[in-house]
Formats: sequence, C-alpha cells, structure tokens
Amino acid sequence: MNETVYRNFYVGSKIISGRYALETLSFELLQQNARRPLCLIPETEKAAAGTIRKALKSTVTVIGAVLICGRDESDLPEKIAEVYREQNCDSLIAVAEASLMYAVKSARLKLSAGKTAAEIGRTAAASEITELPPQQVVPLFAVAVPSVEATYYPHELNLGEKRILSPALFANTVFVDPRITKKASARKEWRKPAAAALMTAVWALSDMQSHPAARACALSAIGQVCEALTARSRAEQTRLVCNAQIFSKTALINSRPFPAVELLPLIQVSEEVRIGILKTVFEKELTGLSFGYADLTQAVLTLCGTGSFDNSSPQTVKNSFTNAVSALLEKLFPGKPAAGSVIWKQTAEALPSSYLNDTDLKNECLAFLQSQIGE
Amino acid sequence: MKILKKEIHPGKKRIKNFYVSVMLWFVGRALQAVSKIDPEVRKEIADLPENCLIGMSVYPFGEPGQKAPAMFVRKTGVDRFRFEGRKAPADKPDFLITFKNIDTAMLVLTFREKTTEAQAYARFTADGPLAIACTFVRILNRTEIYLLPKPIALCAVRRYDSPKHKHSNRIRLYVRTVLGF
Repeated sequence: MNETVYRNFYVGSKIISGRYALETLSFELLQQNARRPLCLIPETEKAAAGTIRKALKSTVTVIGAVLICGRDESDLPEKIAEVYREQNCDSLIAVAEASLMYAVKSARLKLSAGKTAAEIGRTAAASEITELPPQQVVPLFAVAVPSVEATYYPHELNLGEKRILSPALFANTVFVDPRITKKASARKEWRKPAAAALMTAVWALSDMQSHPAARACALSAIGQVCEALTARSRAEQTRLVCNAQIFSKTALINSRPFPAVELLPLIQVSEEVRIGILKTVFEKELTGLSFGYADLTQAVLTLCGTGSFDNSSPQTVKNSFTNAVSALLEKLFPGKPAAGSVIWKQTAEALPSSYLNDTDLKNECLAFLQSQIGE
Repeated sequence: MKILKKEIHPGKKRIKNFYVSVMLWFVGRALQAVSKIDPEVRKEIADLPENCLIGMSVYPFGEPGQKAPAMFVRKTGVDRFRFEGRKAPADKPDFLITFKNIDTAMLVLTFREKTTEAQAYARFTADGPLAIACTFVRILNRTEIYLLPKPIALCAVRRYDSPKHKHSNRIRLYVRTVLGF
C-alpha cells in the first residue's frame, strides 16, 4: 500500500445485520435524538409492524404512527410528510422495497426544504437540504439487488429528469434483520447476486492500492459468499449474500486511490476541481477495467449536470452518450474544442470492445468522437 | 395509503427484565463477595482509582421516568468492592457498561455469548477509561469462573484459568453472595 496516497474512507449508512439487529433500533434512534418514529410499511408486509413493535419493547421509543403504503401512489411523499407533522414524529422507519425507499427520501426532502423533490433542482439540492429527519431502513429483500442497492446508494434520488445528489440522503441506519429481510428468491436466483458480489469483491481486492479496510471488506464478502454456498437454509443464504453484497460494494467504492466515479456525486467540490478529477479519470481509469460504458455515460452526465440518461435501448444509450460528450467538451474546453483532442483520442483508443457489445453502436460512437476531435 | 395505528406504546418484556434484574443483582453481590475471597481479584481492585464506581445497566436506564435493570459496585478501602444496589448513586459512575437492549443483555447473561464476543458485536457501550474496562472484565471473568460450572463458564469467558482452591472458594462465594456479606 502506498502510504502517501490520500484517502477518505466513508460509508454513509451504519449497517446492522443479523440476529437481534432490529432490537438496537431504539438505541440507534436515541443516538439521533429521535424517540417518536413514523413507521412506513408496504401494504404487502403488514406483519412487519408487529415485528418492529416487538423489537421496540422495553424501550423509550413510542411509534408515532404506522402507515401502510401502496405501491403506486403518486403523492405518497406529500402524504407521508403530512402524517409526520400531524403525529409530531421525529424520525422515519421504512420497511422498504425500492419504490418506497424513493418515496421516503422524497418525503425527507419535503420535510427538510419544504419542497417536493421534483421542485428542487439538482444544482440547488446541496444547499437546500438542511436538516433531514433521521431515517432507518429495514430492507425487505436481501437478494433482490435493487432493494439492497437502494438502501446502500440512497444519496441519489432520480425523478425523471431531475436528480438530487447529496450524502445527506443516506439512510442513517440500515437494519438487515432476518425476521423481515428474508424474502429469498428462488435458489437459482440467489446465485446471481452472489456471483456479482464475488466479482465485485475480487475486483476491489485486485487493486493493489486499496485501503486496508476496503481489502478487509472484500475478503469478508468472499467469505460470506463461500458460507452461503454451504448454508443449510435459504434464509441463511439470503442473509449471507445480502451481507456479501454490502461488503463488496463498500470495498469497491473505497478501494480506489483517487475518487471513483461512483463517489463523485458525493464530493462537494468546485466545478474546476471536478473537471480535474474527470481528466484524471479519463487519462488513468479508462485504460483499466474500471467501469462499463453505461456507467461512463452516467458519470459524464453527472459531472456535466445536463442531459438525461436512458438505457432502455442501444439507440437511446447512444443518444445519451452523444449528448453527454457534447456537453462535456463544452465544459472542459469552452470555445476550444480542439484542445480536447488528446484526451478524446486516448479515450477512443482505450475504449475496449467489451464496453460495447453492439459493434455498430461502438463504431458510431467512435465516429462521433472522431468528428468532435476534428480529425 | 392508510394509517394502521396511531401512537403505539410497545410495552414491556417483563420476564426478560426480571431475569436480567436478578442476574445483575446476583453478579453485584458476587463481585462484593469475590473481593473478599480471591487474592488475584483483590490485586486487580487495588489498581483501580480511589472510590471508583462501576456499573452495569440496560438501556433505557437513566432515561427520565424509565425503569431498567442495573447494578453498581464501588471500590472501598484498598482492595474491596461494595455492592451499591440497583439504583443509580448520586455521583456519576467512573465506568458504566450499558447493554443496548434487554435481548442482548439476555444473550450475555444467559451465557450464550461471551463478554468479549458481545463487545466485538457492539452489543453494549462502555463509558469510561479503557484501563478500568480491562480490569473490570478480568474481575468479571474470574467471578464467572467461580460462579459457574466449567462447561457453562467456558461459554462465558474467553480463557478459563482455574483458580487455586476453586471448589472451596466457590462454596464461600455462594454463601457470601446469598447472605450479602
């Protein structure tokens, strides 16, 4: 490990997993000066209310209200905020699947800034978010990737064309409790996230300059996956794979010697510094196996702060990419498109074929890059 | 969206609370007794600060209007412990272990989890100097070795060091603990 390299090791959410995880809920709430949470539960999981109530026995916590939330309610954030105020609550507990997670995040914004997420522009988000009410999350599905990732990447709130990025949106605590987080997928389905976690862990581990804690996380993830292979019950497999995913993601986002693309939105820096980081990313990262094509486009868009990313078809990906590159060139070299030629030439050469499965799409993108370079 | 229930008071876990209260009371009295029996423990206590107050409690102990199991022992003289009871003394404890909830206290006090293991899992918070914490854990381990049969004690302590005159001291310890002298 190179000790001169600067690192900032940060995981936004405290993750408590395993037996009696939920029992510490009251203690964790108190750490955030909260005693009266509003409990949000999807309509398919009403029984979870009983489990939470049982876990809070013999504590000072009084549940302000239990809300049963439908899947497709359009004004859910507003309703949550209304009940929150009516019942005089001071925190939120979300037994969450991905859609409810986003609704809760939006409700937190509403409670903090007094505006809905859609009303807050992306650029204004960081300054408008003042004091968000504490949020605890109990993921419903351990294996289903979107749910775990939604709890783990809650700094991002994507609402159509508007996207809000702030580290303040992280859930304060994530409770992965087997009594609630145990909806195992079919056996063949849990293997896929396990394999993904394994790959991510190996990837993080292979970085020779990883932070030691990141390497430890990666090793833990591999250990959890190995245990899952021999676990007796499906619930146990689910729990282990869920842990492995969390560990491997933690390892990955903290393993880079300089800020990784995934972390860029979290960094509150000036435009100039961000462009500097982006240049480094292009010059050094793109030659390795750091991220895929879609990730690249998304990162470019994030940094430029314009456009939208649609990955529904190869054509829309191409359009997104084209728009992103145009915006980026404008940002990087205002009025001097030729000055960017060196970077873009390297980019075009470094783009491995594995990033693009569609050969035609790749050729089109490369042609576009060439035209932008002016050669 | 509908409101299922408003204002839920989650209630009490009375049996667990009772068990933990009794165990903490018993451990407190045993600490007092062991300080009069075991020379190793006396040596450890002698290193503690003067008038040192040590406690074990379960959250939400200390919260206004809340009752929760707890016990306190105070160093008296050169190398003795005195059981102070289950209520918080007027002065602030020098070292206080607080279990985060009654269930984790049950795990430790039913010897399903070792003290060191519970600490690694952050089952409790320890508020006070590290030196006192280490000393107290060593004393606690020694007391548990006296109090419990070997197979159970092995579940509670990390390393089992059999003390001299274990069996005779065990009888003396039980008598002193129950009678409270």
